[in-house]
Amino acid sequence: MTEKPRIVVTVNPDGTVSAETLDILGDDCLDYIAVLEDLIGGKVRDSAFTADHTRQRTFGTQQQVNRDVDPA
Amino acid sequence: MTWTPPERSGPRSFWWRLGHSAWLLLPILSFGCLSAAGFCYVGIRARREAWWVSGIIYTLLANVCFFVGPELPEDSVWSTLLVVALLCTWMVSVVHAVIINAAWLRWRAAQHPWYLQPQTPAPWPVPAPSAQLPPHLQGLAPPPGHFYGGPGGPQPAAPYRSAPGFPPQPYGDPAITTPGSWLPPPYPGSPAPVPPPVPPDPVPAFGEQAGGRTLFEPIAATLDVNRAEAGEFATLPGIDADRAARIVAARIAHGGFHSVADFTAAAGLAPHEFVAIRDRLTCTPPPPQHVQDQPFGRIVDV
Repeated sequence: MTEKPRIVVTVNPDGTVSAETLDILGDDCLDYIAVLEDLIGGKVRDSAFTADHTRQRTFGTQQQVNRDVDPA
Repeated sequence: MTWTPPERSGPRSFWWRLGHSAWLLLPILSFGCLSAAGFCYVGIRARREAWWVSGIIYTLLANVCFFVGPELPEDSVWSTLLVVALLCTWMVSVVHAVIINAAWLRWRAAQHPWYLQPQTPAPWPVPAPSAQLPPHLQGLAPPPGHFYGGPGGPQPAAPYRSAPGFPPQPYGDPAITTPGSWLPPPYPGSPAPVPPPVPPDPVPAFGEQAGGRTLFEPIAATLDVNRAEAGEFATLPGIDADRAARIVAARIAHGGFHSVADFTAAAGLAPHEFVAIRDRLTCTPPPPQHVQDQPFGRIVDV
């Protein structure tokens, strides 16, 4: 199961701001770029996808195998 | 506090006073037995609790004296007392009613029915001067009276602005909308071209002003990543001529893009660059590739 989505915003000593989305899978993280730009009041200079972009959502499905039955 | 009598005309004339004093007939003509009706009428209308409460007390006393007195012997002391009490109650109620009537007429003359009150529109509230915004928020909040007319009258419309990151482009650019100038198939075997968009109506549409200026954000022309030329790619923000050439080369090499994500990967766009142009990109799937030399049928190993 995926955890609660988070955005970690770090203000660097040189004044730049870096942000990283956590547990936001796929292209959903792209929607937060405009949000962060509005909050910070600047334009994004560089960006890259994290591993969460290609990570698939895992669902807690369980499969029960009845081993007492002979498959033959 | 002095009260000035109203003018002798209109609703405050003699007949108006006489008509609104008609409730006095109830305590006068009924010997106080129906005083409560008149007192309650004026007391409830004028919201004076003392008026209708006293009227109920007068009515109770008068009714007791009026109905109990005849049951007693005529020459008894109690009968005489009840008759005297009835007369006193009646006289007191009439005097009280006359006193109340003066205040009642005063209150009635000061009343204006709701259906006769002039309907004056409420004045438009003048907004308080807002505090000075921080420098980084100056461009976010619209000025006062931007959407509605302020106290100084309607404000002029905001100037035309393009979206941040998008260069201002006129709607209906002939370089894009002219048929034949942007539809040559960039790779062999592409599907039939999409019909060109309808030229803009000369009559200004909703939200559009004369001269091609719109009140809302302009609708940017979309580009099909499988049909656009390098020059059209170069018009997108974040894509220069070299990157546009690499995109076209990758498209020819792969036989077309299967999705916008393929285009993004081939162009090497960063996420924030892709966000700026993703609303302007469309992808028509390329046709399936047929290998001419491959024999039709199934190969079976025996």
